[in-house]
Amino acid sequence: MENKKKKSWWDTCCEALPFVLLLGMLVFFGMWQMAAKKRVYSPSERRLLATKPVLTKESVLDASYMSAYEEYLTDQFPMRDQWITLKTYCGLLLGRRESGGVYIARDRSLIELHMPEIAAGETAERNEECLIGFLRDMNAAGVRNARVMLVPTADGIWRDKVSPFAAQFDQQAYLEQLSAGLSEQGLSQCYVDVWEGLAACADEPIYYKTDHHWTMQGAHAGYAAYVRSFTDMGGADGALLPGESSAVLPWSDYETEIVRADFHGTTAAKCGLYDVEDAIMLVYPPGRGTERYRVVYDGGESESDSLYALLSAQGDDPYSVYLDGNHAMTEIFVMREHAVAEASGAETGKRSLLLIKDSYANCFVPYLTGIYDEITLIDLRYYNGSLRALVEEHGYTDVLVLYNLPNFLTETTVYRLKK
Amino acid sequence: MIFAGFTFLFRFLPIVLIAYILCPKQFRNGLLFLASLIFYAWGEPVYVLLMLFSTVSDYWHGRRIDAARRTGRQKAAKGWLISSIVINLAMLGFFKYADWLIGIWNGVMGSHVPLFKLPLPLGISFYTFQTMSYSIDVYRGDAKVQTNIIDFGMFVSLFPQLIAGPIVRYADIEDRMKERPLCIGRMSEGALRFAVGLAKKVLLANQFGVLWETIAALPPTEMPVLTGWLGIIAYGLQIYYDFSGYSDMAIGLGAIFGFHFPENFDHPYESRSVSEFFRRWHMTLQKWFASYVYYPLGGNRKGMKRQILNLLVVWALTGIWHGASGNFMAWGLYFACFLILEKVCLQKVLACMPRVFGHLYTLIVVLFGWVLFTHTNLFEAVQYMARMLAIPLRAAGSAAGVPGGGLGGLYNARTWYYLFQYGGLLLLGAVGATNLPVFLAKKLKFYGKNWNSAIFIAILLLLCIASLVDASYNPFLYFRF
Repeated sequence: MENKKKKSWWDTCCEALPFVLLLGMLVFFGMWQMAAKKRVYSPSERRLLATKPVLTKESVLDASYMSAYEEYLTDQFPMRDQWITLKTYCGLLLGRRESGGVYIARDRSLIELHMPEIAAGETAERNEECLIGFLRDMNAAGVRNARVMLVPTADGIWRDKVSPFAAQFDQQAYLEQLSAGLSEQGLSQCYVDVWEGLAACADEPIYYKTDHHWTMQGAHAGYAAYVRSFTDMGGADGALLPGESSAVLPWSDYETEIVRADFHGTTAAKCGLYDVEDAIMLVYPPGRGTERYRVVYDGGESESDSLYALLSAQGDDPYSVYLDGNHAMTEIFVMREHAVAEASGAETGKRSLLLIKDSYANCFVPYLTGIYDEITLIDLRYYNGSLRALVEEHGYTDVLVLYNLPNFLTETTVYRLKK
Repeated sequence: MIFAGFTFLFRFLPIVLIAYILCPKQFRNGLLFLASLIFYAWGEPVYVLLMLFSTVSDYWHGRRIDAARRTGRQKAAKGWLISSIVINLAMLGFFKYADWLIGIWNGVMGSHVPLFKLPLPLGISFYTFQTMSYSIDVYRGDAKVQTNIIDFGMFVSLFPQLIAGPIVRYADIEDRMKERPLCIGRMSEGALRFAVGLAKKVLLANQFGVLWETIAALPPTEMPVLTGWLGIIAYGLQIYYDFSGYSDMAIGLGAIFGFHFPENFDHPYESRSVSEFFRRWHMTLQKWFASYVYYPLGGNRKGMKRQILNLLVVWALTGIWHGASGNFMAWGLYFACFLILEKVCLQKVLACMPRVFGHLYTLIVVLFGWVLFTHTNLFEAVQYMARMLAIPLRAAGSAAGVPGGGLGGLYNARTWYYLFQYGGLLLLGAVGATNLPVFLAKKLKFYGKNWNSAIFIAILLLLCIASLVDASYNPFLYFRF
């Protein structure tokens, strides 16, 4: 009798289990959400999270309080990033290799995808127009070397890592077309063929696996292509440094230093996969210490004596270790101890570069200090002044426009090249 | 408030469930009424008054109809019934159809009558139909009059089915209005049903929605035949999982609170004829129209001609119940044609063919139906169908220089990409739309075991949370370059 009674008690418990579990989970996560420490900022999403809305009569009547409250609950849900990871893994189980616009390659490179439409838009057309006009004007204004370097992104160079069916923007075809277009306009010397240089070392880690940027090694390939664009001209008045114009040192000759070994970049954040890590690397030319720098940000708002902002390496956005991330204007003055510089300087005068750029240039600049005495970086997203006035005032010898290609085609501030 | 949101899942629902369990029996209806009003007001803080008005109006009309019937005044009873129906339809007509009708009037007459531009009150199509069913049932003697306004208010506003059905007729839950003991077995079944419904909505419907929206946004030149088919299949699965998921959640919550809500979907995509499809799709709406429109009009008892007319009327109404737009009317009449065709001859033809023909025919008819359903612009619907059938349409706006008259061929690289990316999910969706999962679970003796149910609930809920968090996850990468 007692045995039977016990069993029925157990049976009731079992019977209650599904309901109790559901209710328990709802209560548990609800309480956890309430108790969890609220975050103001999400480092992986790089945005401010919604906070608890204020209850007012107006906000309730127009229901804005309710939608703000829902947003607050979702944004402040505990372990946000881990849930995204779970979601992406489930997608992978079902064969979905794309998550949040990022393609998860077999080798776990997280590659941001770009659709063909980006080259067809109005912005793309206008930007191309502005670019050609700008290069022509620079040539006319007496700048010796005006160059453009549109760097393909990982989904271009590493397209064999991406599904062959992914409807991708064909970056190579676009660059070929652009090169041909420039030739037609008599601007063929302005085009830097960076595609070939990058494709030649596609097996190297030239892009981050977890970020949309190129690495310092990728930037080195870009630098080689840049230098080649001078020597290809036959060393006329465009020659770089007399006597050592083609002297691009191989990558292995550089001194490198890893400042962050567990870097998870933007593409990792987009799809929530954190099982692959990248290294943030600093590169010093051989003979480190013979050059000193003065880096002036935003016309004097802050100054530094290094191209690297080492403090950033440990922060949320380690890529900003390179030239402290993006500034409207960054001026770099290179001071050499060698007399060589003086000798050649006496001959050719100071070489200076105006670099109009997006963040792809930040890790590219350290290679340029051997060539230029002065480099001015302009980020058109934040800089609203006239470029022509700047060129007139400073008398730059060289001008370079450097963007990653998809960004160049979609960025809405490129028209400021006209100013 | 929506079921697939964090406010509902992690605030409202646990509080209401616990309060309901702890609440003394006599206050439970009051608690549900109050909870439902909060639920409704959360999304519609002003229109909740409209729902309360509807509640009071039909409660009062019900009392009047009943009083007239008791004293044998049939005519008076009929008068009150008509008044009730007119008020309900006037409300629905004003908020849902007024602008549409004015738009048509302006179009035909060339006049410029200004539109009201009022937002549609949430769930108005559902609750007006429910309250109408109450008045009619009381008039017909199919339901007893409700003399407690709190109980009646609970019936009208009951939050599990308030926004997306099933349409619960008063007679369906009349016996459960007062006496609803908490039955732990039913509550557990309800919990499982709710979790399954939530998963259908969040894990499947939303994902199919993404695929459909991606494909629908493609320019005509980028949409070859197979992509068109893939898109509308995704849409068909989305609308099924969305709607049946909501119904499952409602039925599950109903079970937890001790109600027996009617079933709303019975694996409709398994059907072998259009008639069968609509006996298994949104069943409560079809039943509503059958018992309050089709049969009162004479149904099939007054000869074939009258039956055809009745079908056309019912389906035109069913169409515009889904939305105030011409394409919904077209959708309804499109199906009426097939229903009539089946009644006249097709049913017999299908019966002597292999089963697979019936399935294929139904699926194709239904998929083309969804094209009509989803394009509020009829011209776009026709364009989309033409693309599915590889018929070159010289449409306005299509690129003139494109070879093949704007057609993108049979397939392109993107077709395969979508197929590979969504193949697993589509397969899951197709299998899940049949009876197979339940059949297998029963066969393997997984079904109905409490431990299995509990584990299943836990997994589904975790995955749903992941998906919901993901939907809100939008890395702000403006300064990324």
